[in-house]
Amino acid sequence: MRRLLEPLLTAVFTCCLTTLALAHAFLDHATPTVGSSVQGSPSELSLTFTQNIVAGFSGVGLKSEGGGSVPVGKPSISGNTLTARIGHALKPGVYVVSWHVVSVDTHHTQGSFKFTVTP
Amino acid sequence: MSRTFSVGLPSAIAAASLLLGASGATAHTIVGNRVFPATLTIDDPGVNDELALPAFAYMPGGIEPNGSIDPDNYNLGWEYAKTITPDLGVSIGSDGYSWQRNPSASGWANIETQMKYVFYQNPEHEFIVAGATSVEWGSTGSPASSSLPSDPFTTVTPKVYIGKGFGDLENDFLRPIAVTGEMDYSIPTTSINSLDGSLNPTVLTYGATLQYSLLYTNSYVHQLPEEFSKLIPAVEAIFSSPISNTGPSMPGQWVHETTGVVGPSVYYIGQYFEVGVMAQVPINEASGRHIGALAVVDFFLDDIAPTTLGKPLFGAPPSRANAY
Repeated sequence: MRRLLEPLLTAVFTCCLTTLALAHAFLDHATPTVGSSVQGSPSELSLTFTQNIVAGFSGVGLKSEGGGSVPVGKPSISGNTLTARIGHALKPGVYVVSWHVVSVDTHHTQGSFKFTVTP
Repeated sequence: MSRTFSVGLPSAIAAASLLLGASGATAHTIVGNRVFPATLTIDDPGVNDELALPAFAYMPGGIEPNGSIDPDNYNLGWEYAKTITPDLGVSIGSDGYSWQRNPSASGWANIETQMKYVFYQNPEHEFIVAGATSVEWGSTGSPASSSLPSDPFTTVTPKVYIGKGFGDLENDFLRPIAVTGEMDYSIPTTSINSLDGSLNPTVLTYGATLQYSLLYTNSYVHQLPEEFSKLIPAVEAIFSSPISNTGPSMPGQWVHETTGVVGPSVYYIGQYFEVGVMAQVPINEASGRHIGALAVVDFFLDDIAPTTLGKPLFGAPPSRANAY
């Protein structure tokens, strides 16, 4: 068994280390952080994913919890991080960030999270 | 993977039922925002390109009605799963190498193949239903002369799977919850075991998992410290009940008893692989005399090699998200 397992595991680990292809992109962390309360209005949204993402097929939106849309700038993407400037200062309240991304292996993922702005 | 029972081999009943988790772990599944990990006691409800290697199981032997103690069982299994289309997959695997203590014995388990189809999935509601038919090919493991021979008969097993994530709920505390379930009916192709002349019963196997995904929590509800953000803790249970061709009760032996295990588990979901461990607690003396363990390392071939080995042979890779 050991004679069988060792070459198989070696082959698999080698494959892992040498393959450049990436995987499903899930949100790893964000600023403002998921579910957090922040004092004062943030100036931008920054979302970091578990994988590199494709600029042309990835985006972010911002709404107040009541549904009012908040303008955000064109997102810029560097590797696995998407950033977008918030168009104007946010009033205190709950906001919903909605994102959709495509990782470089063409897998689509999307999601949303809330954060709260306090005075 | 071996879900066969032999009435004339009572110790093998517990062994087979309690070790099935070793190869029950195959592909993880993504439906909408939900990652269903490859769980240890039952298979997850989707199809994918993955390699479970190794899958380890340990279960102490049960206690027979006459007080005798069955052997402790160990095994190292494996399974390779391949998508044919985004909704159709096949797999090949085995309980692999098995060994026992008290008394000592060892041998190779039979090869098992499976074809699985996803009948329905709803990404928005993180809901999926699938069905499969597996075949454990008799006499493809160790021969009858081995100290631990494989079953000399073939067993066909229809299966159904279901999975549901609760990310569509309003309550943030409940959204990370998911459940999965599996039900199998194993039908031996011969009614009598040629090894010892015992009956080969049909067996109903049913199990479920209750998961609380910190991976989901981190992405969609509340950001967590990094050391917790890729974990999915769960509680799992699986049971097996002989249904027909069981024969009469035999003094001093378990014949008609339902066996099974329950226990906590936890999965780490990495970029290219998953690691899962579980403590399996036997539900009765026929199942085992104390706690055993399951563990698996599962490689995500669709993430390791998405443009070659890890994609369906026909059709585009499966959609991973809600429409937007």
